[in-house]
Amino acid sequence: MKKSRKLLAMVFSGALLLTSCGTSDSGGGSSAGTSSQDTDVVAAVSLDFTTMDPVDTSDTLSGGIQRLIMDGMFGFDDDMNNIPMLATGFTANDDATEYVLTLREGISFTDGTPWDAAAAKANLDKLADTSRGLKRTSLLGPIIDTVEITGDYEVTVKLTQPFGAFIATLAHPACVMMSPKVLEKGDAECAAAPVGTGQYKFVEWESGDHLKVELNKDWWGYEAGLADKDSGFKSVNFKVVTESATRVSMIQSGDAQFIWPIPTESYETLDADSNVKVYSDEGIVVYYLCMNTQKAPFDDIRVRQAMNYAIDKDAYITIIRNGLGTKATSLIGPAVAGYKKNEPIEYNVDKAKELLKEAGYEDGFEITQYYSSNSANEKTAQFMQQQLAEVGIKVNLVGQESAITNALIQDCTKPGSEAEVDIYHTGWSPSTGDADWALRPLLATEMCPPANYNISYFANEDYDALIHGALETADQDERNKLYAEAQDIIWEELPIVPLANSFNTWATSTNLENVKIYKDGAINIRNAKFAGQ
Amino acid sequence: MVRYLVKKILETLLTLFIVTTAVFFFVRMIPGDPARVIAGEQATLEDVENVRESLGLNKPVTEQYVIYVSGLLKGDLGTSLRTKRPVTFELKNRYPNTIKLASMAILWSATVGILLGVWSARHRTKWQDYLGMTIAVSGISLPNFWIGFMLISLFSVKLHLLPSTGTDSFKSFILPALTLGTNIMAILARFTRSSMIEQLKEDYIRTARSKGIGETPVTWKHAFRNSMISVVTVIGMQFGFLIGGSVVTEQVFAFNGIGTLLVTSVSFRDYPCIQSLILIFSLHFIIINLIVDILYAVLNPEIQLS
Amino acid sequence: MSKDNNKVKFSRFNDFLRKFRKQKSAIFALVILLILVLIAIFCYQIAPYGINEYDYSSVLQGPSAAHWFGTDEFGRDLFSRILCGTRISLTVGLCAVTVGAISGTVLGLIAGYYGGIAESLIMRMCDVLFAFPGIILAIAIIAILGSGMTNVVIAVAVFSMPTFCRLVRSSVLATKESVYVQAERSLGATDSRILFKHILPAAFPNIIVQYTMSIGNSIMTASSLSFLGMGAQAPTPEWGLILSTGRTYMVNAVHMMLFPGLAIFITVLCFNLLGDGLRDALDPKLSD
Repeated sequence: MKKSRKLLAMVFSGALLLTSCGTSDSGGGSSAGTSSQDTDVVAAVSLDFTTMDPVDTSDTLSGGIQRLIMDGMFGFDDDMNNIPMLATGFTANDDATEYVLTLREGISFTDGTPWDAAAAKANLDKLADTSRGLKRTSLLGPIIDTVEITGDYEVTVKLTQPFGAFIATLAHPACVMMSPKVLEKGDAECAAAPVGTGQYKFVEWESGDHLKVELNKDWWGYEAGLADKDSGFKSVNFKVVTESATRVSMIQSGDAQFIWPIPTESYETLDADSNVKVYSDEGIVVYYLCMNTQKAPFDDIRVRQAMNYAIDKDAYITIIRNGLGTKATSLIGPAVAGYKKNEPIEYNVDKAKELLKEAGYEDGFEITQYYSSNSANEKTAQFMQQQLAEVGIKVNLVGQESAITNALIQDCTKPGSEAEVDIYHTGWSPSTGDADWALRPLLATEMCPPANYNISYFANEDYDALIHGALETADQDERNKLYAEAQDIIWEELPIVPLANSFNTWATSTNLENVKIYKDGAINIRNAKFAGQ
Repeated sequence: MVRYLVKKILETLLTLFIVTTAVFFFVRMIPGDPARVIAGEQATLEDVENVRESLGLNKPVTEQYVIYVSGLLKGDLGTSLRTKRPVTFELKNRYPNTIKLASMAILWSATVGILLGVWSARHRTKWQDYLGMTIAVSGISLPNFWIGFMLISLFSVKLHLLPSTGTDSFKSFILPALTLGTNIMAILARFTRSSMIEQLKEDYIRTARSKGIGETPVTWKHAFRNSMISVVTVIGMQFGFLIGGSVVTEQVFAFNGIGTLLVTSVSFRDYPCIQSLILIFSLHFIIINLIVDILYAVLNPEIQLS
Repeated sequence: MSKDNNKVKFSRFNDFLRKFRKQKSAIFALVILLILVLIAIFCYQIAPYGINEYDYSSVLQGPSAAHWFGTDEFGRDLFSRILCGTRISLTVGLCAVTVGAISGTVLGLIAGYYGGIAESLIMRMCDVLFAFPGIILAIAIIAILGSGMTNVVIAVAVFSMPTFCRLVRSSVLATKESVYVQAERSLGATDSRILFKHILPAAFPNIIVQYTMSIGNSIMTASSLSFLGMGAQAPTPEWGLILSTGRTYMVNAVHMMLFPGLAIFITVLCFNLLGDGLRDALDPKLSD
């Protein structure tokens, strides 16, 4: 479930403007009586949480809740720009192999442990320790060489290789800082009872049912101007409600004050409900269709072009995204650092047929599309089948449990030409907000399965050189230039059919304001409060 | 008698052992790699290998089996691969939830089922009988998940009367319990009816009637009392069935019970959780069957001979 | 009780017919089932639209003159899809139960007639299978074999098998010791003659009742499996699958759940009514 957002509602953009101006101590309604900070709220979420250890988290939902409890050294503002959080700045050497991080002073974890260089080192060491079997140690484990305490509030990180995306990676949700006291107690404790410096404190988590956090009124972010002084709720109870229809009825009946994502089918229903405000905003997930470029018939560029003409992106957005999406203009969304726009390829059945004829497939061909069965994937797969049938391509659908599909697609050890995958529909969220964490894992040659997610088995030396070149410098302008060229190569070679930029959707009761979703799909309630209080 | 009991109990233990072992090896036959599922769709091969090692899944299967069985004997169900917390912790709230749900379902369905059955039997071949049995046969023909959704769309979505999910109040148990109990109600109504019809044909009922005892006391004091044993047995057996049948119902209501946990655990290939849950499901079944067998033996000594 | 000769058999059959004719609801169910069978055979000829004929401009429309049951998320005609789903559900139900009944009967005969180790083994296996509630056993089997209708048939067959096995075994145990079987045996009849001439016919009424009832049950289980995402492959118009898709649209398109549910209900109901009627007509205990 990765959805994203762009401002649609005029009302909402107004509200956003107000808050982004009012980050100083406006404190308008913080008079006596009931304030937002004395009120408990309930939120309904679609999936269960997996763990509370950020270093072991691979889902956006759990990562989002962790970001309420713990802050990173770097983080995001509402528009997913990288901002300093528990660090105040950094300096890097020219070849991006050594970073000096300056830490914010005067902050404590909610268990009283001070935030200092020792705490930073303990966290970075954990992130670098690949022997622990935690999922996210792969982000920085191979990169970090040593972490040294070079001052009370300064650490120096030496890297094993040039890595221009280091600061962007530190803003990844997995890199939020946990109290060293909890770290000492071991990974099981981290997974069950996290302690951070965040706006909220962890209260309890009953697996499969709910997770509760309560406000940390002493949060440093209030002083630092990250949030209004009167924003926040006394507590937030995140209830796990897997059934979409139930989630919708909870917000309608007032059993929940906010829900996300809105099941796309119910968007209009909720929009029409006067007790509910719905929001949608373009996110950073891009949906696309992989084609196995090393296997016939997709080893022929004309067939890949034909596929791009054959699929109606407007219909895709209307039918599959229920109108909540925009045509993809790259493999990454506009909000991602390093994005370059290209023109979407227009729907043209005749041209597709012509190209297929040229390539010698006048009578079409037959392929298999695997997918992990859930109702959304099932709908998308049927859509592809219908679209491609129009140009004579017969698609056999095989929907299986995700465990089986993933094993087949991602753990495939065969070379691309022998892999089972023909086409595969997916979406990717570059959680670092940086082009690297999409363009590299999705299309760099060394990232073909089983290493990572290059399901197109795209192997292009020019492309690889650009992507790796961009990692060898910390100069953002230089990096942007290289990434722009790489994105042009994607548009020429078409190893994918770019489909749509996703939208994040969420709904709140009418009296709530500033509940937002980050571009990566995680919850953002930094400035949220009850309206008019 | 004692020999029969000992034999039955030994057989039950043997079945349990076979079930435990079969389940252990069967779950590992399910295609799909838990390390991959847990590492996540975007994980690298290296992540997957790290996860596999940390979960102890790189050990030989036989070693894992020995660890599992010796843990079981000590009452340790293992650690969930998905949440990395003890399986017992995962069950702590969910198991009582499911039992509560199943109990509520059996309570209403037994009451309604028995009344309906007796009513039909008393008015055999009259309209009451046809009505009662139409309700009953409809009840066994309705798919559980469909009843559930129809109830939700009526009572939660349209009327906003009852919550469609949750476990925190009595109200939130009403719809799932109604859904879960419908089939059992129907089965019990049919069973009670046929058992009552048999009883009502017996000589002692004719005698009672000829003595001028009214129809109501004849029905309840005589015929029903004699049907009781078999009806209660069926209720017991249905209870075991209910706990398993709750899988679908729990899924419909996103109910936080062991049925939902089973579906989640299967999709995550959470071996320790699947093993424990199937063991629990079958344990209910086996124990209830054992009690039924013993009851039969006590009530009907002839059975030992066969 | 009864002697084995054709006259008795014939009169037993006549007796059955006489009683069955009185079961009005069973006859009604039989008629509906025959209609369903005809629908299953000719569904593609009578369906007003193709099952994969989509129309993106009229998705999720409620019932209308053009689309009696409304349209689905791709604008496909739900009525046509449900008509064609009849063939799938009936096939799955019949195949699964037939496989289960045959294997269960054979195992039950062996267990009951020969006893000894074979009996212990078979009955222990049944115990183990019985130890799992039906749907859980089916989930386990599907998890191992993978989803798809063939595997659904296998899963449902496996879990209906032990019921037949137990049923036949107890019937064999009851008949084996009867006077006429003893007599036949003392006259030197072969095992197969005894099994097929005496024991199987005695068990037959029970098998047929159980068979009819099991079909309804199997259709329901198969659609539950599709509902849980372990059955039919989209875009197959399987009822459980349509229903499962429909739950996403419960708030704004209830017809997506209403009609496939009704289809399952009516079919299962008819099998159960027929089974009831057969039992009442075959069971001497229930006669007046």
